Amino acid sequence: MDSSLSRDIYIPEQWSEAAESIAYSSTPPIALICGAKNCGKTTFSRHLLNILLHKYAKVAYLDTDVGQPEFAPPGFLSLTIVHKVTPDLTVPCLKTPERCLFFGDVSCKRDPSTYLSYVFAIYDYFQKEYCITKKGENPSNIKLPLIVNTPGWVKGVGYDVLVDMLKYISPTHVVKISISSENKNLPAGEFWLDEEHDETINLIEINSARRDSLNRSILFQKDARPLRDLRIMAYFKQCFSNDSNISTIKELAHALASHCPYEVPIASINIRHLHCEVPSSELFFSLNATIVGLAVDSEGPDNLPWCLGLGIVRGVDTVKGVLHVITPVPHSSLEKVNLLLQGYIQIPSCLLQVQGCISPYMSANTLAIN
Amino acid sequence: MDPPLLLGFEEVANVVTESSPSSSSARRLVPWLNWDEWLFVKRALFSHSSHSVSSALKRISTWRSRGSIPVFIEVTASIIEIQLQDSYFRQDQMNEASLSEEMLAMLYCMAVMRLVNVAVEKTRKKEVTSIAVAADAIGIPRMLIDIRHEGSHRELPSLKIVRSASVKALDWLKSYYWEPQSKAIPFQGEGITKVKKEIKSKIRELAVILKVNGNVQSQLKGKRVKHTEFLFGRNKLLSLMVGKSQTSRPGGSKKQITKILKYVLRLYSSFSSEIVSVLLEYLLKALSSSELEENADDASIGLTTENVLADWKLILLKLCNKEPDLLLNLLKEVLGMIESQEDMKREEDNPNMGISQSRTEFRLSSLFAWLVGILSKVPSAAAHMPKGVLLELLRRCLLISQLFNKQLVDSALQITELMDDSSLMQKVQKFSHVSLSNLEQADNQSSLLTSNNIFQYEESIHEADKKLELVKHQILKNKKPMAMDCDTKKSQTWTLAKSWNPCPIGMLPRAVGSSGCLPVLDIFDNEKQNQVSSGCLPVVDITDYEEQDQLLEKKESWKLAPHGAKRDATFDLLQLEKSTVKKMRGTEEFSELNNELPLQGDKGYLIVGGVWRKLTEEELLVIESSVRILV
Repeated sequence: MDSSLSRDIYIPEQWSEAAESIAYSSTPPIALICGAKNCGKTTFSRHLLNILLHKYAKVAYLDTDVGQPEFAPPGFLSLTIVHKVTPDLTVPCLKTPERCLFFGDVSCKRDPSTYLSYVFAIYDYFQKEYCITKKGENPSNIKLPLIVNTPGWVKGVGYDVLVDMLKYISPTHVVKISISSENKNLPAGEFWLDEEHDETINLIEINSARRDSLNRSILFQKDARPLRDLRIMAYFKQCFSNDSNISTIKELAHALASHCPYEVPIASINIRHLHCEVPSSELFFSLNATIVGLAVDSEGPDNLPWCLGLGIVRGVDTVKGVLHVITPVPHSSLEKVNLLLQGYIQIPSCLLQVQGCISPYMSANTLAIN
Repeated sequence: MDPPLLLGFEEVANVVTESSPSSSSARRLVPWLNWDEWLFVKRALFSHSSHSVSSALKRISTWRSRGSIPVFIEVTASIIEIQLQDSYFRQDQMNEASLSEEMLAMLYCMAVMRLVNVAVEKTRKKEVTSIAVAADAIGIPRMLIDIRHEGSHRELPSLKIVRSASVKALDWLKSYYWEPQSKAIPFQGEGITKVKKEIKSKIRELAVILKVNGNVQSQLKGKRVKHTEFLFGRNKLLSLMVGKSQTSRPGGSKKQITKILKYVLRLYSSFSSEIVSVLLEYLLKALSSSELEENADDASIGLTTENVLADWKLILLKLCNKEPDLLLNLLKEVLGMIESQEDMKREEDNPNMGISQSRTEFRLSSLFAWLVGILSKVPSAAAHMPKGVLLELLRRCLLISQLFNKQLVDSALQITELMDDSSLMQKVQKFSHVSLSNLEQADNQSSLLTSNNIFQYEESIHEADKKLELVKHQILKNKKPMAMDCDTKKSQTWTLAKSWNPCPIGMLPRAVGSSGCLPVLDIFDNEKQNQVSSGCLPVVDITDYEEQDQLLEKKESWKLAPHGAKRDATFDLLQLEKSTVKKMRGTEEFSELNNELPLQGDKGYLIVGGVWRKLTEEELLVIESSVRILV
């Protein structure tokens, strides 16, 4: 099964066997992938996705890693329905999720309970939309396979969050990827179950892909922050049509500064910060030149607002009473947006430094001790 | 079914390496809009009034919500906030629900621990130096380090000790962060006069260098140059300067020129009016001194404006090429000066102008004509000036030029040429003929009603009539779409901005050019409006009540503000760039009041938006209380 056409990605046999055993189960599987940071969860999930697409026409992907989501920009929890095989396993690509919620931070450490409620909400949505509940039968049959990706936080708060997720979702297959340093791994066996071994769950334990001569895992250390910035920039590049000639970051920054923004009257929009209380008199100081989530209030489950995408509030005009917002969300969907969610997702500073058009928030005289 | 978008960026490596700039000339993301905001917080944070301190803490918590707040500001804020809770430091108020001594000690201890950890972690190499040594290197008092150690490993230090430690910590923070940073701010926030001096000196420098360049080049061509005096009026010192620098090498000055240009233009977005006034000062001085010279040497040839301002032309061309908004502002400013001259004349009710007044008028109009000449020469300005802007200039120009000012009429024609609109051109030409013929009539002082004259008079009346009709028509046309707009606006909240000029993210666009202007982000709380009025502002226009009505109909508690009335006067001065428009707040109470409006008896009447309107008492109160006088 040669589905990975990319060079440089090494899929060990253990991994292909694992993927195939999941793919060829009788009913559409719900597979959750967990493991320490940088152990290869995302690569495995992409590989699994490709394998499943050979058998199923559509595969659902529930992404709970808010720091480096697969198909959405950072800060989002999303459910995406995938039709096409990803040819290159090294490069993530942006797709429009079916449903997503804006968490507003790159890790769940500030607010794990809200994070969990978001995960559960999206999973419930998946159940509702893609399950056929036959009367009298307890477990509902799902029509689509589901892959659940998790963040690599496996100790402390992250571990507790993972356990709660596993208990709620009860996947049919759990893929646990281990690295060579034992104390950084998740506990052995079915660590999330209080009682004994559950027959319906298949636990697949595999090792991280590369090992050196001393059998130590070689982890691909990624610099998280620049990668997130790149993802955000790729997201906002969608504001421009495909044939526009933007190939460098400088060109994107310049194009964004010249791009005609949407004007939305402040009076018709609610603004909320997801993680702290902003005094109402300081609202615009907090909002100007920040990234916000564009959400539709009171439409989601449990009053959680479904989010349509990200926007940059590039200006606040108190005289005219409008906000200037740049966003790639199409105009037709924008009309529903009535809520802006502020979080801690920062605009990449390279987008603020345009030749001749430098944002006032990029200051030149700050002391070097900061 | 969208095509997958790959992260197709070529400069990935740059992103990675740019993540931690260490030199002080590199730019860093900060949560404040400009240094004035930072200075306001600094002053308020360390002041003795609890009101200012809490407003500073509010602002700092807003900065925290943006996520890029420097760590020393955060630590300072936490210590000061704890001190606010401590009745030892609060002489004015006694907190009933104050914290117990244990809790206070815990808070102080935590704040001090964070301070030491955060300050030291940045500077030390982990295994090489101990925390104590590294802390010593940056000057943290030993007491703080001991408290950190005590608090982490032994029992909590006593409240008295940590209290005095907090005072020491604040002093250290002031000396390590707040003072050095405020020294590093350009112009140190000292006010507009210092900025003006700086701009003046830079422009002088620029002029001198360009002059030198020009002189050297023309010397090479063997011409004699004698216009140094015109540059700076009769400033002998500067003429000497120019003379001296004429002997120095011209090479390397091109770099200097671009450096100075860049510097001045960078200042433009925050200090545009200062730059405009400095330039106008120099230009007018040059013109007036040339007139004096003209009087002195009777035999000399009449110097035209072109000759006099020839040197400044180059400077202006260079500046306006990079920043077309500057030229626009200069033009507007000169027109404004002419208008005020006319107003003065009208008020004094003296049709025969005094000599000095007529000279000023002549000077200003020739300056305007010269500037319009530059406008047509500057390629970027002419290309990018939106039609609306030019139309506005034209309108103002024509209005004033009715008073028999030939130069303005000519300038108007020039502006129309730039707009490339043949029908408009015809209209303006007709108008100019009419006004010129009127001028000639006045000059000739012949009131013979020959048949020709009658015909001309009739023609001019016809023209005027036509124009009036046109204007009426325009007004009617403009009113109709507004009614339409109101309806469509309600159904479309998200609309693309009608016109857009590139500007930095975080700023609002200018009419022309890409420097952008700083936004006013204050929200004014009307309940507190009648209280603290230490800030002073000039009265601003009250307009757009139609929009206010629309706002009131929507349920929201967001209020717009007159320009920062609660802050220090100096701060206001620094922020004052243009007059702002005040709008009324829209709350539900207000909408109720407005609905009752027809039922109330006649309250105060005010001209609003050109129309007499009835206002409720509330609205009057609001207007009254927001009238301020600039001290």
